Amino acid sequence: MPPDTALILGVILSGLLMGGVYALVSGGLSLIWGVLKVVNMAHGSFLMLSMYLVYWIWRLTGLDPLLTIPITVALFFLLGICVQKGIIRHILEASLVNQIFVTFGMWMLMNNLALMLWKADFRTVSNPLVSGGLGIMGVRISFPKLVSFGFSILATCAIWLFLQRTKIGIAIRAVAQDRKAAWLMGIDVDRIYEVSFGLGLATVGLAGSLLANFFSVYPYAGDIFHIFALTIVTLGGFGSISGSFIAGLIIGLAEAVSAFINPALKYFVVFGIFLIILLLKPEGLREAL
Amino acid sequence: MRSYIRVIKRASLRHIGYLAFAMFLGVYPLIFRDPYFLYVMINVLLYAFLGEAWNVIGGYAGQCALGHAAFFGLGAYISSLLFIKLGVSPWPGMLIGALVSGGVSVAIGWPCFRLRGAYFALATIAFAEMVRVLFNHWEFVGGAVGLRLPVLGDSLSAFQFRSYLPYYCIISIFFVLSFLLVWKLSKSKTGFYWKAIKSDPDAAESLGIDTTKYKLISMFISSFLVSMGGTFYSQLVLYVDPTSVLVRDLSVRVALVAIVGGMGTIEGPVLGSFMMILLSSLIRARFGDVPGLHLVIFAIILVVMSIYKPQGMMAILEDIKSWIERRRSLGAA
Amino acid sequence: MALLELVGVTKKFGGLIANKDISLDISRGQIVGLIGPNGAGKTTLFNVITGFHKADDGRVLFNGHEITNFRPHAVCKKGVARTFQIVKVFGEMTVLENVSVGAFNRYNSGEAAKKKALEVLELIQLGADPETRASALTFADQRKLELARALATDPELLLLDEMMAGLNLTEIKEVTNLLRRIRDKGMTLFVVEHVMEAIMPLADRVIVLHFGEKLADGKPSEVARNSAVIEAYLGEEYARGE
Repeated sequence: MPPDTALILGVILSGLLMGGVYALVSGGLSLIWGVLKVVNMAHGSFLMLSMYLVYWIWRLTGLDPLLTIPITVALFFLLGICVQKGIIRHILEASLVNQIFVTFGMWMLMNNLALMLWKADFRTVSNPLVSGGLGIMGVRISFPKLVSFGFSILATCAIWLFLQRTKIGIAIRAVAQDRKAAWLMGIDVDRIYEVSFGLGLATVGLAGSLLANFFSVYPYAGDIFHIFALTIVTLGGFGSISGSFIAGLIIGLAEAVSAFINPALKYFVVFGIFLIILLLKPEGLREAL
Repeated sequence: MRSYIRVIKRASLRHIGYLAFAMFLGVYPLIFRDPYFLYVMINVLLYAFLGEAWNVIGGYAGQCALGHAAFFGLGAYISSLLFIKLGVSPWPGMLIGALVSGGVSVAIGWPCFRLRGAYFALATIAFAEMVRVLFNHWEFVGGAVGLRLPVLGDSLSAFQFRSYLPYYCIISIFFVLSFLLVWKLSKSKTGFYWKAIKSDPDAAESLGIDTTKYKLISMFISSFLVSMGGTFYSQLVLYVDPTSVLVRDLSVRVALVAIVGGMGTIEGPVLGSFMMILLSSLIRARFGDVPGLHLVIFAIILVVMSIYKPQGMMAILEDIKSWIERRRSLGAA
Repeated sequence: MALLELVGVTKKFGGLIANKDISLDISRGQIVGLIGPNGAGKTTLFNVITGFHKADDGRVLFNGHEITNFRPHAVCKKGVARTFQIVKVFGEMTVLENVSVGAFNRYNSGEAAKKKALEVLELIQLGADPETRASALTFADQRKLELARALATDPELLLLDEMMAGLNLTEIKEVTNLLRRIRDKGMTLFVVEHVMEAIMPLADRVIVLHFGEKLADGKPSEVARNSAVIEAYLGEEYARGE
C-alpha cells in the first residue's frame, strides 16, 4: 500500500477510534439531557475527575488503568446518584439560566478544585497495559485507541440494550418522552432520574479509565471532550444513544482529518460544525426544548 | 396622606442609596490611597460595568448569552491593533471596536435567536470559542503570545497612565453611565418590551412586539458596552492575549456577576461584583495565591445561590427589607 | 368589505390535516363564534390567522390587505389582537405594566401608554389594584387582564381563545357582558368557545369546525338545528331544547 494512502487511512482510522470514545462520553451527556432535560455543563469536569482518580490509583497502587474500570464505573454511578439527589433534583423545574449556572458552577468547582489540589501539571500514566500499536499493511493502529474503542462500543451497546429491553430502561425512555405521563403511570420518576444521572456519569467514569492510557491528565483535560460532547449530542439528537454514537464517529473523523491538514484547524472545524448544525436544524430544536 | 409619605420614603431610600454610593465612589480614592485598594476597586467597577452590560441581554431581554468574552476580546484586540499598527488613539479605537463588536453580535444573534433555550446559550459559547481559537492561531494578532502595548507613561490620548487614579476615574464614569443607561432603558418602551419578551415571547409577539428586533437591540447594546470594557482592560494592563480576554471563564464571570447580584435589576451587578471581587481579594489576602481557591468558593456560592436564591442578592436584600418592615409593624402594634 | 377574510386556508402537521380548505368572512361589529369538538382545529386556525403557524395553502385578508403568513407582531400592528387558550399574562409584572405593554403598540412614551392602560382597565372593570403582580391575581382576573392587554393594542378585531374555560357561572356572566360592552364600542370579536351556554346567546353567527373542515356557518339557532352539527357535536339535548 502506498505510504500516503496508508497515512490517510491511519488518520481516518484513528479518528473513528477516538470517535468511539467521544461517543461514549456523549452518550452519557445525551442520556442526562434527554431524561432530565438538563444540559450538564460539568460533564467534562467529571471526566477529568475520573482521569485523575485513575491516575492516582495507578500512582499509589500500580493498578493499571484498564483494571480500574469496575471501580470507576461503580464509583461514578454512585456519584451520579449523589449529585442528582443533592443538587440536580432542586433545579429540575428551575429556569434555564439557573440550570445552566448550577452545572457551570459544578464545572468551575471541580476544575478549580483540581487546580488547587494537584496544580496545573500534566500527568501521564507510564507503561500502561496497552500501549504502542501495530501496523497492518502500513496502516498504523494505536492499541490504546483500539481497546478504548472496543470498550466504548461495548458500553454503548450495553446501554442501548438496557434502554430497549429492560423494564427500567423502558421506564427511563418513558420519562424522557413525557415526565408527567410516566409519573401518572406509576413510574418512580425520582428513582429514574437517579439511575439516569448515575448511568450518565458511569459512562464518564469508564471513559476516564480508557483515556488515562494515552491522554495527559490535567485540570482542564475534560473541557475539550465536553465541547465535543455538546456538538455530538446536538448533531445526534439528545436522548438518542445511537444518534450520539454515529455523531461521535463523524466528529472523531472530522477532528482527525482537520488536525491532519492543519493542527490549528481542528477545534475551529468542530465548533464550526456545531454552529452550522445549530443554525440548520431550527425546527427540530424548537420541539426539542 | 401617610401612605403618600411612605411612597416618597420608599422611593427615596433607593435614590439615597444611589447617591450614597456615588459619594462613596468619589471619596474612596481619598481614603484608600494604596494602589492595591485602587486596583481592587477598579476591578469591582469593571465587573459591575460588564455585569450591567450582560444584564441588558441576560436579565432584561432574557437571552442566556454566554459568549461575551468574544466581544470583550474583540474590543481589546481592535483598539490595541489600531494603536500599535496605525497609531490610532485608543479612544476612537474603543468606539470602533465597540461598533465592530455590536455589528458582529447582531450578525451572530440574528440566526441564533431562533434557537430556543439552551441551544442559544450553546451557540454563543461555540461562537466565543471559535473566536478564541481563531485569535490563538492568527499571526497577525500575535497568536497565543498576544499583543504588547508600548508603555508610554502618562498620556491621555494614548489612554495610559502611570498611576491607577485616572483609570479609577474613567471606569467610574463608564460604570455610572452604564447604570444610568440601563435605568433609563428599563423604564422605557424598550425596557418594557424586553421584560415582556423574557416573560413570554409568544404573548409578546401577539402584542405587536417584534421580538427579533428587540433581542438584537439588547444584543447590540450589551456587546457594545462589553467591548468598551475590553478596551479599558487592555489599556490597564497594556497586554492582550487570548487567555486573558477571550476565555470561556470570562464569559461566565460576566454573567455570574449579574446573576448572583440579581438578574434583571439595575443594582444587581454592583452587588454581585462587590461580592465577587472583595471575596477573592480577601481570600487572596488570607490564603495567599493558591491557584483556583477563590474560584472554588465562587463556584460553591454560585451553586448554592442558584438553587436556593436564584433571584440573587437583590432578593436577599428584599427579604431583609420585608423582615425589617414586619418587625417594625409588629413593634408599632 | 369583510373585516377578516379567509380563503381556502389549509394547515397540515405531517400527515394530519388540521385545517382543510377553510373559507370564511367576518364583518365589522359582529361577534362570531368558532365552535367544534376538541381537535377540530380551532386554535390552529387562530394560530394561522395570527401568524403563529404558516399556512400550507390559502390566504388571510384583513381589511382587504393580505396578511397571510405575516409574523405575529405584524398581524397585531395591522389591527388583530388575540388571547391564548392557556392564559399568558406576564406574571412578574404588575397589572398596569401588563396592559401598558399592550398600549405601547400604538404609543411610544411611558406616560401615554400608562394613560391608555388605565383607560382600558377602567373599561374592563378589573377589580384588582393596578399595582398587583399579575401572578397574584385570581384565574378569572388573569383572563380579564389578558383581554385588557390585548385591547390596549387598539385592535379592530379581537380573537379570543376559550375565554370562558375554567370560569364559574357568575364569572361567565360578567365576561359575557364585558364582551358585549366591547362590541358595542365598535370591536369585532371572533371567539373560540366550548361553553355553549355562553357563546350561543352571545354570538351573531357561529362557525362549526369538525376534523379540520368547516361544517356549518350561520345563526346560532340555525346551526343548533343543523343535523350534521348535532350529529358531530352538540348532542341531542341542546338541539331539542332550542
